[in-house]
Amino acid sequence: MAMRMVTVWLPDWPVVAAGFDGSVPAAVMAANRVVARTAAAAAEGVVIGQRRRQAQRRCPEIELVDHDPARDAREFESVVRAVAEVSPRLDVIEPGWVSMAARGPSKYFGGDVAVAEHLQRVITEAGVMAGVQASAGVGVADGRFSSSVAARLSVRRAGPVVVEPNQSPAFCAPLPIGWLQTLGESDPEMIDLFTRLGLRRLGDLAALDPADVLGRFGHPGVHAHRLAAGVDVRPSSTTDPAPERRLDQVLDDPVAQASAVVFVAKQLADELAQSLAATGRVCTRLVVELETEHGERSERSWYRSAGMNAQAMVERVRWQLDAWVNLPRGSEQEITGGVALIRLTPDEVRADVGSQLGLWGGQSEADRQAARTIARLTTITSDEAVTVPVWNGGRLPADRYRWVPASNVDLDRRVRAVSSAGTGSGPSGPWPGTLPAPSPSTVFADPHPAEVLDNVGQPVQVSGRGVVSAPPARFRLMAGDETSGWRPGRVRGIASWAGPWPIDERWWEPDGHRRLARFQVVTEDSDGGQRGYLVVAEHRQWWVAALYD
Amino acid sequence: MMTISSGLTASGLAAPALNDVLAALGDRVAPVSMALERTLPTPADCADLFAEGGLVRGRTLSSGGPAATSVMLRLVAAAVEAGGWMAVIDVPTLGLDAASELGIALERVVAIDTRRSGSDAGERAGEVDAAVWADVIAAAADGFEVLVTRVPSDVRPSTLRKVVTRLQQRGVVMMVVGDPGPLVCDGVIDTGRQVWAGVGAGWGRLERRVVEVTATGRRLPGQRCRTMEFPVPESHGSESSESPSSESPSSELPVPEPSIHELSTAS
Repeated sequence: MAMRMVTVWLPDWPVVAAGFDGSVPAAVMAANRVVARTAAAAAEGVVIGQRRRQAQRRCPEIELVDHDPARDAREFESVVRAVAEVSPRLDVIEPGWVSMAARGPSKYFGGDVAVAEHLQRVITEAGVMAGVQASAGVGVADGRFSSSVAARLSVRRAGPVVVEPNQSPAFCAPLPIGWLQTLGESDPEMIDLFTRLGLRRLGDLAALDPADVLGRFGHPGVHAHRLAAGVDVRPSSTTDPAPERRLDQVLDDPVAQASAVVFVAKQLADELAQSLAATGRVCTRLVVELETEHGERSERSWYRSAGMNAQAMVERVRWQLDAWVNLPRGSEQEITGGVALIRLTPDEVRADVGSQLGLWGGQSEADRQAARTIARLTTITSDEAVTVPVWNGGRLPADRYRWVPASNVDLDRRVRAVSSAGTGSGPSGPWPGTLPAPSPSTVFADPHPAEVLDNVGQPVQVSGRGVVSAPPARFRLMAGDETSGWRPGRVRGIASWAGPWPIDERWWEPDGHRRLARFQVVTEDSDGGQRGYLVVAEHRQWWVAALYD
Repeated sequence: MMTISSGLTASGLAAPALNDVLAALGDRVAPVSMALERTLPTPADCADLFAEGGLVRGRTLSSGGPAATSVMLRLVAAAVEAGGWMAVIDVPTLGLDAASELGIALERVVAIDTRRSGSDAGERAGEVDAAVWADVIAAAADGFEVLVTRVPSDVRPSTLRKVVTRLQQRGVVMMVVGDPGPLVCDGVIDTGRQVWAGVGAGWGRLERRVVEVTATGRRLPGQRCRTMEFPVPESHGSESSESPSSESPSSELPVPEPSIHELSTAS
């Protein structure tokens, strides 16, 4: 029997935290995707998950800001404090999303509906105090998943959604299966598979035999099945308070810099994650306690259904610390001294079944940092200036990749786009006749003219049948460039050469037809040092396609 | 594949050897040494080019000579493979296939062309604006571990100092392609001589090479030499046993061993 939970969900919190009013079209972007938008932007057709360009096309006057999780957490603190007045034992899942046990507050306020309405009122007031336009959806149901769904539906229905006890399965059954993805419980591939198999509603999945689901989909499938059936995430038997796993660090010398606190927290988190992983467990609820030398305390419980790795724990410590430091003056437990104690308590652990998801789809901190930097570089230069490679295919080195603006692609879904293997290339792939590895390390996009001479100084010619008029003996690379004109460069003796390897491409296309022959040429200097070139003969002209430098 | 010792500098052996000993001693008595923290992952066969045993974060290196680009890519490949991101700034000629064969994860490569910044991109194409270049480098230092770039010739020394300081703060390695111009690099990787194997007079193809690499510079005490071998990569060209065209008779002819003896006796 799942525990009865109240969940509070503030829609599009990142954009509220960024200080936008609902009447202004604005959106918050992460990795070139919309993660939150205002009501005005939603009315213009901007949806979550849209790319930057698409959002700008729908709504040209939209204001876009970068996602900053620290800002979200900082601004969220006022809401958390308001909710903590109602129920002190609450779990922050992410900024904008809090859940707590319903039993205590429900008894105190006289029923689930009364709690939910009270919470909505309290949060709106807290938002006004903090100067943001906070409107919350509140849902009460059995289990965290059902109550989170109820909270989100409550935003649309403009009133709390309360599911009667034991009615959660019936409540979930008619809902589309995509809710599992929306709440971050299942990955998109799994939902896609369910949909293709005809499991379009949560009820369809719940109707299956758990043993069959386990056999076919493994642990992630069982997890989804359990949620869809309205059962709580964890069976109660795996609860492990594990008091001995609590880790703390007393700092003899209290530290005032946030970065130093985070550094200590990182060591603790690494140790904790390692000790949990050693027994095959992962922490889903972490209580972070911070205490200053003057005795002020900050305690928060963080929840994440997918489990937290060390990095996720550190991130939560950072959020909490950031929110604490930025409290308004004169509030209760205001920080006045250096932090003297850091304690991490794994309040709830479960067996790690390998469903550990990254916070944003398996991205590392370096990836997120790079995505932010790319966005910044785009603003310094232009959209077209910042590009990423995409596999294109071709027989000449310059054709094999093309560069597309980074603002048009998903930076976290890039592996397939750049790998030649992803397109079925490879030993028997679609580009027979490609020169095998090693590939040239300098590739000219535009032909760089050259001269290939035989040993009497005449240009070498290649016949239509790929026969060389004379063995190449000397090689001259032109200096200069297209605009200022080409000057004859130094003549080098050819030590060895190979080819010709002819290409007869696109003969079916009058404009695109090309006939050329490739050569590899190695020149030798007087000291015996060699240089490699990829040289092409086309229409009696020689040009260098690439250097093996 | 053959391995050879780095006994190339027989003639100038005494002075560098002494310097090496001094450098090693200097390292041993240096007070702060979190070398692993400060170095990027460096392939084992390149590590002994540096006194610290790896490519130190925050340094600028230039590479020159007939194998400059490959050696440079090889030095940074391990760092990109391990999850770092690489920015290629104003080097449109970088061969991505070669990078991929050397182990660079192309999904973490981003190219920035500073000539296409701003609205008037089309008009002054061809000229790199030194100020824009410096801004781009400074911004890129926030999110990338490795920068590969060309230094504009007209950049002012004061701007360069700011850029270098920024790179040191962020612990980013900048690899300079071509002439570093007014920038004095911490290290200079010189690829002196290279010898190719696998290709003859009209037969075979470029396969393996041996490159003689020298690392010098103000932050690299002494002069460290070694030879680097580039074996045949196994990536997209794994059809390597057959020649790309039936007209080349390479598959019938025996492929000679690389002429390393020639390299080691010279110089």
